[in-house]
Amino acid sequence: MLERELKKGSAELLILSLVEKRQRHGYEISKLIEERSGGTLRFNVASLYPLLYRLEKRGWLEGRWVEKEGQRRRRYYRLTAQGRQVLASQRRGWDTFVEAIRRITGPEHA
Amino acid sequence: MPDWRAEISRRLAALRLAPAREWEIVEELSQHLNDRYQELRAAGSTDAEACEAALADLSEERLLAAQLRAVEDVAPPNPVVLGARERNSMPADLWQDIRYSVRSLAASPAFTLVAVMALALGMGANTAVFSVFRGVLLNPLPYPHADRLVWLSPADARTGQTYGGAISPPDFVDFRKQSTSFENLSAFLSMDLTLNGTQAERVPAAGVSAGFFETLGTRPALGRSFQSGDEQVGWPQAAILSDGLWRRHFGADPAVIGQMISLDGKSVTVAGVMPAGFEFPKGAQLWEPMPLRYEEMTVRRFHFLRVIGRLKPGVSIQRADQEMKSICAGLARVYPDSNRYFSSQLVSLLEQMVGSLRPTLTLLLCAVGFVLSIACANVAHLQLARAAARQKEIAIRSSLGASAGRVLRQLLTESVLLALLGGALGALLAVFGLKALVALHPANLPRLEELRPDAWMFAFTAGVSILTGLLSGIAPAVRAARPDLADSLKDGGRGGSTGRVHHRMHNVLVTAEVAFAVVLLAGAGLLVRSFQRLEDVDPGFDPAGTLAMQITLPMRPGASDHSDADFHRALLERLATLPGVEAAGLVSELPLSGQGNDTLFTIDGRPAPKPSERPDADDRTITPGYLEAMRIPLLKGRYFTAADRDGGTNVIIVSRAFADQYLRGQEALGQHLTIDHGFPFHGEIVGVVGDVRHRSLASRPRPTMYTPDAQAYMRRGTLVIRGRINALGMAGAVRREVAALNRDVPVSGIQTMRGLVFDAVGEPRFRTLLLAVFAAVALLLAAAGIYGVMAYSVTLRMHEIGIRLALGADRRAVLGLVVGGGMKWAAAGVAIGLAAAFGLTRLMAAMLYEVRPTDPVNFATVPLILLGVAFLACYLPARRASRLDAVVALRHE
Repeated sequence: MLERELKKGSAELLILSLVEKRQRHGYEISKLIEERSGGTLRFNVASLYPLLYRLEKRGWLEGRWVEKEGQRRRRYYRLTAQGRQVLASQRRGWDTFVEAIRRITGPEHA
Repeated sequence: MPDWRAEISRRLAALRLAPAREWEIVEELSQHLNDRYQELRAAGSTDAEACEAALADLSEERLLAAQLRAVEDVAPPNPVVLGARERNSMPADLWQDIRYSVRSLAASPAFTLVAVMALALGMGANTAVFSVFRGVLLNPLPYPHADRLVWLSPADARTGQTYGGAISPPDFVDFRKQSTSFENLSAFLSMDLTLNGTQAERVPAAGVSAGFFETLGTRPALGRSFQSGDEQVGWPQAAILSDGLWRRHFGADPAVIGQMISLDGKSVTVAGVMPAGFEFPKGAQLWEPMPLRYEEMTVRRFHFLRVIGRLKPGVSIQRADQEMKSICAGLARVYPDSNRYFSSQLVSLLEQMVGSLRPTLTLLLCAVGFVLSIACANVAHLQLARAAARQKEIAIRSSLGASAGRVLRQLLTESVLLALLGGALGALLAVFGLKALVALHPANLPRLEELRPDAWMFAFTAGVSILTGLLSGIAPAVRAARPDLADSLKDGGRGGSTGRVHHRMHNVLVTAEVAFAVVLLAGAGLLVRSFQRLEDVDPGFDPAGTLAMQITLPMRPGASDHSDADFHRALLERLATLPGVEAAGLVSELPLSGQGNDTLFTIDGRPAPKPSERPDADDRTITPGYLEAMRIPLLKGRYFTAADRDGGTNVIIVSRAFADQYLRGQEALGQHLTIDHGFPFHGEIVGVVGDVRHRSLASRPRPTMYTPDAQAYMRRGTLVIRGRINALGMAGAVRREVAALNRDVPVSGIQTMRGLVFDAVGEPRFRTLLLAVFAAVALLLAAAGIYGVMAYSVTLRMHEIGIRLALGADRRAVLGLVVGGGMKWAAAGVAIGLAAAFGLTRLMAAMLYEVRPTDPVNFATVPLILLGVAFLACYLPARRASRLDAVVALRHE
């Protein structure tokens, strides 16, 4: 249970983080997750897009179609103000969580 | 490069998204896949490798739709897709089933209407008859601990048979003294009393022993009940009023207790008022104590009391019956002259009141059960045909994952819903039917007027509806829930093996329907024939144009014995002058009126028999003119005349049965009889008249003796007037003549003799009419069933018929083929039905008058009617088949 929630929560955190600084399209997001995790994390299409739509529906992300010169129309996602708050809060939670794990699992200090 | 869009669209199809949204998702995802493909190609993958990898990104078939379903505004899962969710909660499933059923039934209104009507007929009849059955036979009587109330009848000690007779007062007093089984044993005597007031009124009343009200467990609402002291004193000193009489006659004045009222010209004190609704014996509105010590009440051979008792708690009827029988045996030893063959029989009061109705009501209950079975079979037909038409729909549901059980449950829900609709309509029919039954019911059927639609009735309808729904739905549902998927999904998948199996079931149902209808028709036929014979019976008098009414003279203490006869004579003289009156006379007990009287007699010149062996015959006192007014034919000698007066030679007229039984081979005229009228009446036979069916039309005429009122005694009689014109129209004039002679003489119970004869066969008419109606409904339903099946079968076989016609088959051959196919099954039903009817009609033997249960005419007619109806029901669809155009038929799918 914890693991599933963790994974779900962390996936949301990952995506929100990736669009924090700039808007990105879906393929880009999936590539970045794969690259930055060194291939450990991979979202397939059937999981990624429903998740994006969910976050959009919650009002954390905003998606819009953008046409760029010489390219197909793409849908870009960017963080909303609400998303930003959520991201901050999730980050804090995550840090706390990681710190807690580290304390438990790390080498003991005298 | 594959068509990503098409692939993604396919996977989204089940979600049925809004088109714009679906386009958006397809666009975005196909770009993603395209990017991935291009990237892989750029990295050196082959086209095939790149395609495979990109598709792998979409991952397994259903995941995308499953994930999106949680996020997107997908259309709600279509409720038509039965079983889409396999393990749901029962109530939710049921609700879904019901909603679906309602839509499904509403979608085929013709089917629903026909099925609901058939079921409503069947269930309406069942509900109405069940209500009568329960209300009359099963409902306890309206007294506390009514199960402990019993009725004591006299029985013949030699045969143990009861004969509906009464008990003598001294016997009753001995029973009361000696028995230990009863909390209370009491006697009563029904009579009419004249309540004198501003206008004399005849009031149905009863003389009762002390403890009568206690026996029934009901105490007066006002005043006191009768005590044993009331039995001691002379003829009546106290009276108890019914609630109705108290309100109508005394304005519900509580101060009436202790007041004097005039009854039959004597003053009595009102002792109490009974609570509303108390009416025992039936109709009684006034009760008087019976002076059991009075001299007239001590003759052991005069039987005129009815005896009821309340058993002590824990005492069984059998034990009390044993005790009474042994008391009777003791009395027979002490009083051999009067009690030698006298014994008793104890039954529950309920049984006594309604036991005679049990066979009729059981018969009707069976009949409506058959009608409902036929209706059930009809609905099963309809559902089978409908299930065949819906095979594709069901196959689609099954292929979408609905289990056979789920489909079965849905179909049964539909069937039960249908039956409940039929039941609701049936309950409505039953409410009206019940009103009709109560209105129709003959006067002598007890308790019918108590019947009201109640919760029991509706519970019964609901229960029967559910059962009916399950029964009529189970076979079609089982068939339909296991369709041959592949076959059904193909467009032309009709008439394959499924069709044949369906059809066999149809045929079995036809056979069953016909068999049920045969049994009902055979039973109804017997009753109708029996009733015809009963109506053809000559009652021994001519009821047409005759009016009867009761005339009761007040008791006049001190008046000469025959002053009543003088009154009658004066009245008859006045009536004779009325225009339109052909003949008029009075009789002490009118035929078919329920009144009766018989007494002992001896024939002069014969060795005196032992007192207990003295013969007994019906005894009537009449005025001159009675026999003429009734047109009871004179066979020999003469009628009574005004010359047959007190002081002259006493004269007697006897019936043909009397002459045949007691004076066989002798000249009846001139013989002398001594008739026991309480005092010996010695007279000469001066005439022999025709027999009269006095007790009922079905009973044999009994030997009867007539004596003239001027020589014998008649205080209360029935006036019979034969008019040349409308009989009932004379009532007013007669009433005026009576009042002109004496305004204290009440006239009551005015009716035509025709009405009396009509009422006399009320119960047979009631059951005959009802059974005939049910048989007609059964025949109609069975005909509709056969017709439906044949019409359906022709539709199914249209292709085959087309081939036959195309190959040159004669149209008559086609006709024969279709009719023959149907008649085969109908004939099987007739055979089975006849066999069953032979067995079952035997049980009706007691209801039949001069018709044997195996009556050949009946058993020859019934199969002919059924086969005729079946032929017609087969012929109509067959004619349609034979007129088909081969080309059209072949093209028909």
